[in-house]
Amino acid sequence: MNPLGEHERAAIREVFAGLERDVPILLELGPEEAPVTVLAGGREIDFGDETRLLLEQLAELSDRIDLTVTETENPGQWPKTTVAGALVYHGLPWGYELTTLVGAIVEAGRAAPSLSPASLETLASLERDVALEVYVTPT
Amino acid sequence: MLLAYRCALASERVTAAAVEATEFSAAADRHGVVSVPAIVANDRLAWVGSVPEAAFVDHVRRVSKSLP
Repeated sequence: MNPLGEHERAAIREVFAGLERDVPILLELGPEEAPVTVLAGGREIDFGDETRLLLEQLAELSDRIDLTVTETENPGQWPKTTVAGALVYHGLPWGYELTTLVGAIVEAGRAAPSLSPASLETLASLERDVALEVYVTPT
Repeated sequence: MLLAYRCALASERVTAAAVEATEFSAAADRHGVVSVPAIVANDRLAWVGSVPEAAFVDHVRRVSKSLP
């Protein structure tokens, strides 16, 4: 599988040209709950391999992106992609969710926050930690 | 999802992770996720659906104020 076509690469390269800061990406691979899934049409897909290929292609599109890949034998929600040490994606960011991953890279590459001053003020006043998990699907 | 990431970048009190619901269906089932986007905050299903930035941040504020 070739995750990104030429048209997509060109569009993403243009978006990444606006990165103002370096963006490290860590991909962690390990034993998966469903190692191979059969898609409609009979094609098999390995989420870990596909994620690695996708991230390698994205990293080629900007000198600002530095990709590190590690592997573990421990159970967990693999593949796990962490952008800039903070923005996590569990699974293969395919289909519509490619936009989420690209967006995470763009957000991490900004020199200044993109939220409104009112939102930043509210977040600065939080009394306890909040762990957000957003369940998504590729379509 | 991007709003969650923006909040995590703006506040050390917020962490944000996307979870692909079909790959990790056991976790999605455990949280009662039946449609997406579904936002689980501090291990509880907090709200479902996309909302504007102000509403999203207000949800986060209310979760932060609630007792564990």
